[in-house]
Amino acid sequence: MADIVLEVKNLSITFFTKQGELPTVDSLSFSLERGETLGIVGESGCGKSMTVNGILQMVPPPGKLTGGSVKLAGEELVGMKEKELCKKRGRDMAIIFQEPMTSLNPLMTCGRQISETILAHKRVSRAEADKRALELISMVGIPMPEKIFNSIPGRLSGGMRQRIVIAMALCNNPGVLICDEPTTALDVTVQAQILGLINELKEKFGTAVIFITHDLGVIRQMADKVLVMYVGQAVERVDAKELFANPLHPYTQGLMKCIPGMDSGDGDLHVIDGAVPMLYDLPKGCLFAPRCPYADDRCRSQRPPLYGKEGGHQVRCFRCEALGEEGAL
Amino acid sequence: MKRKKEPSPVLTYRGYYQESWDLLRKDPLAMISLVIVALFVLIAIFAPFIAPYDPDKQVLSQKLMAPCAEHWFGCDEHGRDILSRCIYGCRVSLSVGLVSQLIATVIGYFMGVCAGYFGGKVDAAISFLIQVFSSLPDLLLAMALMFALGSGLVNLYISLGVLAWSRTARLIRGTVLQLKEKEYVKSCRVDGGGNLRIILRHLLPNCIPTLIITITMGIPSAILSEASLSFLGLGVRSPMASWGAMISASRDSIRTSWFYSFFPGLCIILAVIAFNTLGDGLRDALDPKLRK
Amino acid sequence: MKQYLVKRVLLALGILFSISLITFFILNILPGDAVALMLGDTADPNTIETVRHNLGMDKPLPQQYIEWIAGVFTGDLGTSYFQRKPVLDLLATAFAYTAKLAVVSYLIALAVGLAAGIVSALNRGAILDKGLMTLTVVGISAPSFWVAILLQIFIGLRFKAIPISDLDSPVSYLLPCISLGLRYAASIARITRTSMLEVMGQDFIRTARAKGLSPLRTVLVHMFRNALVPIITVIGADIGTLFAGSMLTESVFNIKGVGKLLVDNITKRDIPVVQSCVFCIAIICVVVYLIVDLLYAVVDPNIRLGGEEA
Repeated sequence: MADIVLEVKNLSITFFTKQGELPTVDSLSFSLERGETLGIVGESGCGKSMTVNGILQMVPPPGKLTGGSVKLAGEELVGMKEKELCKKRGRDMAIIFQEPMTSLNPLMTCGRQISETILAHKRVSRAEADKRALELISMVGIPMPEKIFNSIPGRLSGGMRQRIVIAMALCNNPGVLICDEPTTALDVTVQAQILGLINELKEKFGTAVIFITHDLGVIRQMADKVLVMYVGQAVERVDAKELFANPLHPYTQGLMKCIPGMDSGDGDLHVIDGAVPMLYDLPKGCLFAPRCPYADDRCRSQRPPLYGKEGGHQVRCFRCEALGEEGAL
Repeated sequence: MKRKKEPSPVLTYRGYYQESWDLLRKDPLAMISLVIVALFVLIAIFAPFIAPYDPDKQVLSQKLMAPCAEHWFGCDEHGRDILSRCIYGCRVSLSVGLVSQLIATVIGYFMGVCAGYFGGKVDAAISFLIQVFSSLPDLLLAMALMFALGSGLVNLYISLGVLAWSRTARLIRGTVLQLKEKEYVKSCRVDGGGNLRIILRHLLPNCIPTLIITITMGIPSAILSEASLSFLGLGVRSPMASWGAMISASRDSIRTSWFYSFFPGLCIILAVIAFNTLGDGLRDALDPKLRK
Repeated sequence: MKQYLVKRVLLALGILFSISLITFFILNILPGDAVALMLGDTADPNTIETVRHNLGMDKPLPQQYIEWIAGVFTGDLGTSYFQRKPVLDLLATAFAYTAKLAVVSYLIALAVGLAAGIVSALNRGAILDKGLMTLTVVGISAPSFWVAILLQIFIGLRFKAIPISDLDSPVSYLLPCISLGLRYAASIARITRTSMLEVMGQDFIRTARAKGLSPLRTVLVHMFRNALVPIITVIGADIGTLFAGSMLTESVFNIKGVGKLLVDNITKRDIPVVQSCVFCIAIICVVVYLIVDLLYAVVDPNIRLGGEEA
């Protein structure tokens, strides 16, 4: 496959705590082509955000990246020197965080926070960087850009701040844009605007996007490919269209039923019984077995591998054994 | 805010102080400092039995004798045993710390409660007073007071006590403002409970944790103030042994006798660290805001 | 901003007025005849009466107070009873020494404390952090006069080049500044560490790192600047006590500052000098608090612009 901008292979992140070693992300693999959008879905606490930290090589202690590789435009990031990584972050890969209220420095003007990012990576004068920042602010649809340029974030609404964060992320025209639940903290109306903006800018810049969310509805609007995560593992990986037409993993099916209006059934609000297991107390067999309506003895005693071919429909469930093993667990 | 990592499966009500004690017991630093504080208290109480010599007995042949097997800390310029004087000095320091903090607590509690409970003009006036007193260094007014009252142990209690109330008052005011909104206090007011009754029966028990913390944290600063005042000649009357006064007296013999200055200071530093650390531990264990 | 400024200045004036009342009350109204104490046990009643009259202490109290305050405004702080010099002159000479000592000590303490605090925070849990924090505990708990004497014994007396009294040559600053600055360096280091750790965990630091800023820029521009507000609070509280604390240092190192002037005249019981010294130190404290209040507004635009708090 040509033009792969990001390739993640067997990424593993472990937290070393008093309760033992917790596998927060467990050999996760995916790849991303230019201009493509990959959606990563899962409940909170299933390792989505930690995957992002792993890609950026910013896993906070006591966590540690314990294995795998992350290749950005062919270059290996795992093991790269911090100084080199600083050159990559913000230039070749950028991120939009979940909380617009807290992800901007409260004491620095919005414009300065954008131009600072430009100055960190490009040899331009301060005035040029400021000019570019101003352009970006108006590009993300903020009225009165001059005024906002000189405002501190405390005076802006959440939606406005998230637009600033987007402008900041795109200011160096990165190859990969990671959106970590960018709209979760926003009102529904603002959410739609921000999603539209991300889609529009993605087209404009040809950026590849990793879109992380717990909301399958958002995924349907945004993603080309989808990765469903459960407790640090990929449980289903397939094209978005195929996923919505034919969800195979019981967890994915459960998630779909939870979306109001998505289920053709009686209109009752569905829930997946039980809760995500604690990382220090994982079930012996399939991680989803305790909550799975189809679980049998095999599910409770053995962990299923990821079935299905690379690039095709891949599912981590014994019921899909027919798809054939990929090889690695 | 500390977040609990793992919710305990069975919630059993054990009582606030029991739970605090359990937390405190798990804090090794706090426990060590508790032991040291207890030792200091025992030394202060049983000074006459512990001190190897009479602290005021002058043996001129032992003038500025260096530490040896008979006199562990050496002897001072009048040939008095420094260890014994340090042990008696412990009485002065701890009693000044405790009594002055008790005085400060009584004043601070009533000022704080009145400000928080009555609000309005009373609050404005008391808050202003708190600002006035907390904007001055403790030592300065204490010096002026000791100057006006004359030196002596009782005057030390008074000077350090009446000046240290502002911190207590500020914290109590905050606590009371929170409590006032609580249902049971409101309902007591609706039932026609008198102000004094509410202040003593309902507010006081809830303020006790705050008071324990402020007293423990206030003692070391009172000990330091006493030492400073005695050092400046405004503390205890000679020949009473006080750590600060001993250091002051040692200044004439720094060329010959390092030990004379050294040991009393060591006592101060040890007592202050012990009380401060204990105070930190108590705050972590008692402060409901830090608890889940 | 203007409103904030006016409010703070008015409050400071109110506090100063109250302090003048308190000082006056303590030194003039409390039981214990200051003049009798001043002249000693042997003075006869006639002399005491004469001195009281000369000092204007036989007038009604409100009048005494008003005359004193009027004097403060016109720069007439009375005359030293023993030295027969205007108190203002004595204070001015002494203040120059105190200011030099305090400013140099505090600047050094500030530099050392901030550096230690930042280093500690960045190496949280490491041996370096634990060592530095243990040192700060000792620094905060050690009485400054004791540190001063130990420095004299173990450094000043060993190395002849380092004087143990006075404040004349640059070298002579060394010991007084260490003994006076130690506790402030320690308290600044502690609050800097705490405050930095709090900021380090916040989202915008992650953003700064994810933007690819250099570690130095992240630490200084994004972390430190945001950690400043609590640090300034501590600095404000410190500087007030700094001038009081310099009394002890001045007295150990025999530096003729305000503190030494006050202590000496307390022993001599020279009331006009004592009263002016106390009030002078009080004024400095209040002015410093005012400056700190205004500094908040400079550091935190959220206060300056009256926006929501950060």
